[in-house]
Amino acid sequence: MNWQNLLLAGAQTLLMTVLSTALAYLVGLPLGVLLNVTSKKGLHPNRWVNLPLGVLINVMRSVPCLILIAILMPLTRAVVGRGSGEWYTMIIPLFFASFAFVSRLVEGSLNEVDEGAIEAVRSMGASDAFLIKNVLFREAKPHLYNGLALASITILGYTAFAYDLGAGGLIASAYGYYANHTSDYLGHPDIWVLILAVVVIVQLIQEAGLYVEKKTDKRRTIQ
Amino acid sequence: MEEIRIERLGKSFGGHKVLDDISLSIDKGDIYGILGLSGAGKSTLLRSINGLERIDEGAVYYKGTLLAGHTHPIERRRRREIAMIFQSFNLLMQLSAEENVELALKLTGEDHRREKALAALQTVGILDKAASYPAELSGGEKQRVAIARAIALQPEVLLSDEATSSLDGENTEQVLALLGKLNRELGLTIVMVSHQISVIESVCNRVALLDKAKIIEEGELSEVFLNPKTALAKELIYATHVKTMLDEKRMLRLLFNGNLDEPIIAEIVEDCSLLVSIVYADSKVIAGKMYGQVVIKLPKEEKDCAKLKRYLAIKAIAFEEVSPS
Repeated sequence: MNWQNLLLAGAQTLLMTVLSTALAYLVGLPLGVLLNVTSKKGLHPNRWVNLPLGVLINVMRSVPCLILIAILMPLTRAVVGRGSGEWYTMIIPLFFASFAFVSRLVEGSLNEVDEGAIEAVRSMGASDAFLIKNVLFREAKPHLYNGLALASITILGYTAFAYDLGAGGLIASAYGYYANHTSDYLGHPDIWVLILAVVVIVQLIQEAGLYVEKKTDKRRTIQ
Repeated sequence: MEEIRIERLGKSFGGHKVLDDISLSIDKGDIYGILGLSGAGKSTLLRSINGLERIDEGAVYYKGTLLAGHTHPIERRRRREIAMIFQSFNLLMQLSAEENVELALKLTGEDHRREKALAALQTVGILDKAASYPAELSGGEKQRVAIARAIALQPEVLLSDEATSSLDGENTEQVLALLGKLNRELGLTIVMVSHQISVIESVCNRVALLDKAKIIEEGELSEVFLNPKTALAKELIYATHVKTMLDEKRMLRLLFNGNLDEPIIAEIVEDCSLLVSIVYADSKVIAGKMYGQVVIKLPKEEKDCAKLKRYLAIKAIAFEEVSPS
């Protein structure tokens, strides 16, 4: 493997991860807010919304990623023009595989917000929209950043399934080395370079998430 | 002038009545205390005033107009006239003191929010902590920020839900002094819930005693505190060691208006030729006036008791026999 191939695989992995994560948050974030707001202790409890939504999200989370890729092949083909063979054919399956997980992460982060703070602002006449924007999001910000890092790493892990679609990326390339050199794949330096590249990216995302969480969290400031 | 009127208010949680037929009236400029043991319904009553709890029965009127009722939930914008502070301060931990106050002003879309937030922090004497986050502040400072947030919208009423209960003695005094100052200088009507009698008696002018979902006594602070009628009122107001002796001894509680020049006990001894033993004595400053009480053991002989009571009546000294409740 030359540097050009390594950079190409790295770019494919990052593009698959970033775009799928962005799409997953585009849908998962409002769903997570809806789950939190309509929950028993939420701003606007509504079990007729919360229960079916929760079931739908749990079902989505239960379908294995590889099965989703197969089921969604016609949709992928209709949207991006082909069902496999390019990195972008992974975006739709990865989005479907992760938005439910993202919505639970967002819901969990919002659940951490102190009820008292919400109540105090509500007692001043704040609307639900004001509370979501100015209390829930602001108070949950550090958790949301950490959740973003966690979701990105999980979605990056899902890019391994790109091997099955021939969609490229670092993990699929590493697995490709194993598939093509089953007898002595561990002795081949390329596989270690690919693994190292994945580890470095995951560590960078994780550390960035932790750093931003720590920087934005004002609750532990010691006098 | 009447500011808040509560009429026949009732509230239940899961079939359990927590407020039952509550009626009371709070005047403009009052510091109105609501006192009771834990679980008496004090906080629910306070929260019903600004709509944090939906009312099951009755209604709350503000300046003569219906504020909240069973079929009439409070309008959001009217909540801004009735601010609230809490035991746990309930500040946003990710916002600085100034940002916490600014958030209240953002609700009404006010201009010059920063300047107004700083002015509110100055009013409560904590301007130097404007940039600090709640985690960097002491309990007393946090409550001051919460008060600044509450007064930023220039409310006419401030509801205080056990606002000093988690503070130490010194901070409690400072916060109470601040509330007293806001009452005097801004004309803020304050409704204060507490289970601490010292808190109520140090700042309130009127008080309601709440027990098992009902108001059992209500009126001017001096009237209620100096002549408690119900068993709970006596329990709340008498000192603990007096209560512990009630089971065994007959005692007489003498009330005097704080005239320290009158040697009451010495006069009893001299004029009635009776030896009395003092069980308890204290003095309180209520609504700026000094009041004292002495609890003495009654003589064993019935005729001596009668003699003592006759003497006190002649001397116009208020007294009551303290009997086991």
